[in-house]
Amino acid sequence: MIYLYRTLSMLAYVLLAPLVGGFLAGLDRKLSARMQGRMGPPLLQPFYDLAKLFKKQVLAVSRYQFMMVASFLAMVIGTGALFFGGFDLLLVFFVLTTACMFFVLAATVTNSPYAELGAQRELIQMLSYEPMILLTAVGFYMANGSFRGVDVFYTDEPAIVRLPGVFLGLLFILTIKFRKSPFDLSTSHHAHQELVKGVTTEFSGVLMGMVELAHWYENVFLLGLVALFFVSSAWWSGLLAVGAVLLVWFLEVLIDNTSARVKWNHMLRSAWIVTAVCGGGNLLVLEIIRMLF
Amino acid sequence: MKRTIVPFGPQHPVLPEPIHLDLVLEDEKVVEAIPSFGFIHRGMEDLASKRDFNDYLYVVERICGICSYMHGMSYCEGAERIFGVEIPDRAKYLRTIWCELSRLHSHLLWLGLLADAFGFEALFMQSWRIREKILDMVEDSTGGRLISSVNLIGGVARDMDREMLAGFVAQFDKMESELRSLTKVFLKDSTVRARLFEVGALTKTDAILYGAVGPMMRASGIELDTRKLGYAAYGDIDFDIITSSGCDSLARCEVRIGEIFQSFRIIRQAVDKIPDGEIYIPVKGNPKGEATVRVEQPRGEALYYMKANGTRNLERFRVRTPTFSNIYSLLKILPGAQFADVPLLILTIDPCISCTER
Amino acid sequence: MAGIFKFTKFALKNLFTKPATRAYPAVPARQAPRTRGAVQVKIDDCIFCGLCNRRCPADAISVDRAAKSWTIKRMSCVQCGNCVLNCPKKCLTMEGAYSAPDIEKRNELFRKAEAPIPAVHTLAPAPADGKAIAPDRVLVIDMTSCVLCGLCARRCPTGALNVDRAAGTWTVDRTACLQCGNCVNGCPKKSLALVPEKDHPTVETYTKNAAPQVESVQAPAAPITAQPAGTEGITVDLSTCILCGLCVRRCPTSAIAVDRKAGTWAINRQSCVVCGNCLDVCHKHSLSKTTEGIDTSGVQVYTKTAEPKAEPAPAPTAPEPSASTETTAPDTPVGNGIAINMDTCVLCGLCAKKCPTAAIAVDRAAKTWSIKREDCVLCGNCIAACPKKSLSEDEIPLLETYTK
Repeated sequence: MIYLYRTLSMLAYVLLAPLVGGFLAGLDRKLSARMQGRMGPPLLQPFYDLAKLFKKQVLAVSRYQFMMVASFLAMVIGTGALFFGGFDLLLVFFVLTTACMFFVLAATVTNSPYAELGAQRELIQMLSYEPMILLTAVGFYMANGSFRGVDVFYTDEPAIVRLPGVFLGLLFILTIKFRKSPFDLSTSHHAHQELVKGVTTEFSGVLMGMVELAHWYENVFLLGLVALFFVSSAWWSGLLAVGAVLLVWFLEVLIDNTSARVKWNHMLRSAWIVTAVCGGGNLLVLEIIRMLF
Repeated sequence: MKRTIVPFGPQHPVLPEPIHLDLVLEDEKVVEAIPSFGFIHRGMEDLASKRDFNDYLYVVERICGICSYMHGMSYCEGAERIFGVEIPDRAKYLRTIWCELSRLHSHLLWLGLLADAFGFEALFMQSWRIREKILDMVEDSTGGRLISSVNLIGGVARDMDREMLAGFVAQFDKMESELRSLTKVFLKDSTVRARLFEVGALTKTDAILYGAVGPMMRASGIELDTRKLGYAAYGDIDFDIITSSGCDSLARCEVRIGEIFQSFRIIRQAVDKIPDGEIYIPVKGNPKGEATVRVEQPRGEALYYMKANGTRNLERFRVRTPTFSNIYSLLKILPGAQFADVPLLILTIDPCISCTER
Repeated sequence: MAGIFKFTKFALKNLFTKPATRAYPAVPARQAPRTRGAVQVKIDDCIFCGLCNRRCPADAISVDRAAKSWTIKRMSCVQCGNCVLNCPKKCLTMEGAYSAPDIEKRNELFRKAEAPIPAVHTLAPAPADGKAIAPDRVLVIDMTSCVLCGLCARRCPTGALNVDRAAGTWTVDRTACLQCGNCVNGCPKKSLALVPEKDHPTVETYTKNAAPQVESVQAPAAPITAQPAGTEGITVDLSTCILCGLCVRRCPTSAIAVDRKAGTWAINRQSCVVCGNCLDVCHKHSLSKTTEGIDTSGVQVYTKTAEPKAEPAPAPTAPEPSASTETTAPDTPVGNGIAINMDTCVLCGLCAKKCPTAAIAVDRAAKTWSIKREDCVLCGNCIAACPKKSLSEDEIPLLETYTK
């Protein structure tokens, strides 16, 4: 029975994540605009933009770009599908890393100075958040005794109870993953930075559309990861999870609008400190509790 | 060490002005900055020989949109000096008020662009929201938001009566308190501070050596302000010279913020002291002679030279803009900076390439 | 002290208040009472003087007097307001309207609607009832002062006036007359007026009772002696005259001729109607009316630095070189340099302006032209710039100062 649910969940993700992701992107833009005192675009604007991007003429700088970006998209969908199918968290995270590598490669093959610098920054970003991501997987193992995502549904209490530090650490690096200030170094939603559009500078038309789509899939996956901390076998945990996800998402938008962009050394240093203190500390405490009791 | 050359400008989403720099980078560190200029040269000085000197005023005003008011005013000052006329006192005070409004809008614009340069769009929008109120005041009094077309050789064309001035001053209290909270973000927020503190330091010696002017120079501790020369009504107004000893981008931000609050105070003083009377005296005939006018534009000291030979057209009209002097300082602070700081550093000189290249 | 998220209170406050932006163009743009918008013209008040055309720094306005149209290039207008400021009839406004964006550069033409101008100018017979067409003001002339110079006819934009000097008549076609007043302003004798009279015929001819001064245009062969006293004529003081030729241009009968090379000023007394236009225009006040030495039979030629002498031929004769007032010092080097003919030089200063090394200086008050020979690079800019062709490159004694 569970296999049916898992398969349905994977299918639902593959089909519905673009809609959810696009809608969240639209809400993000509207909310950011209101926080800035503007009216903002219509809620469905990201869909109009995506449709426009797919209709545009492709100006590919290099013949390998399409292959790289397509691989990136496919891998991201794979990540999310594996995650929502309840598979091994470590597998999920490493597939995500592979996807990001394709993204970086897609930028590097263009030989553009902006894209290359953006790719370099993207790699530094990965360096900043990878430890925390891995610690999250380890944390789940230490809390639930299993790396498999589906196993959270069999626990009595949500993982947040045992992993508050890991959760905080994850929240910190989520800002990097969502590409929001203060950590929107490699590319951001606004092209008002020294790298023009950074990693995505040389993508246009269909390529840019695929990248946007991939980002929506990725965002849905990341929010699912947040929800994972709040689900358990209890029926109300689902509602709790949705509430937590919305709160976290709102906080991300608020933080985006209340901080400046920092430089890469700040990002790296602060991410590792948070990883060590919150993530590492949490796991250390868990280990100590396990040894004592 | 591999070096890459990144072209920066003249069209770049983060650049406010069409300056071109070829940045030689080693990883993310700028090793050298090679500038190219002239993208927006329009030959406006040459038009002096083709337009009646009364009409040329409108061309001078349009050298730049941000610094527009003082260009027009300085041209009129220069012509008035050549003619040897003294404009009525009320006109002098009105000019002072408009100069300070121009400075206010320029500095608020700068604050917004600075925020944009370090990725803080919400702060950018908030600064410009306050700036809108200033532009509304300028539009109410002159008819145009940026280009006022209100100066004439011999005075000003429009008057601001007591009611209008009182209305403006009444709005200042609210604006000042909003600005106080806003400038706290600029000066105290930790992410902003991380971007501004100890970035792009220009020592006092270097500032003098490289000929920095305006807030760029005052942030390195040099106490000079061309308004102290006493043109328009500045001779009657009491104000200090705002300086800072920080020498870095944060110091320049402090100086400009200080000047914003100072402008409010100056306008309040001018509104209290403004005398009644005429605002314009007609000036007839053709000018003959030369004049040099120096004013404190928001960006620094600007110098205007006019030469007339008794005909309807000026023989020569030359502007030396503050950005022209500050560019050398920019080229001094760029090497050694991080690439992420480049737009920030370009903004700290408050570039107005439109004025510089005319 | 540093803090984090200091902007939060602004962000949250903005979230719950109305946005500051305006949904333009659904909501109209903010306009103040003084906002400078698109230039509008009250065409009925416009007199087509063309001042706005001349004052516009962007050359956006053009005025066609004959066609009574006022055209503006909307995309060229920079909304400076100079035209509004300078309009003598205050028929231009800028408040309240703005130029809508467009995809092509249009010209907007405003035309004054009025009765059509007759295509062919003929003397129409007077209507039976003798009533004037324009009852409010009519053009009348005082023929006792009129000298039949014809300036009014030349200035009339509709060709309503006709002056026949031979016949001694002045005719106005009142259907064509616009009462613009150009002729009234231009009459040197102030003979014309626009008066609120009625009952004038449509076409009216006035005849001068006095016989015209000029009998024939043939000049006698013999030298002319002084005429009987009392014949008034124009004379010139060549010591102040700079031979600029303005009087030539202003003379309605083309009676004056100026030859700069020859240094002569000649007047054909038979054409001259002594209207005094040349007197008015002379900047040097060299011309005057006198009764002495006036020979009305032909052309009188005055030569600079020589006594005014009467010539038998109708055209000015060959020039005699006039002595300049420069002195040659004994040890002045002779060589290739810029030479100036001070008799034709009008001290306009263009050469000084065009000189790239600023070697030339012109002092109009002192009437001197000076050149620093060591700075002069013989580029020839001054020669090309001189409107009177006074400069040339020649083997000359290299003096530095020349006086007129």
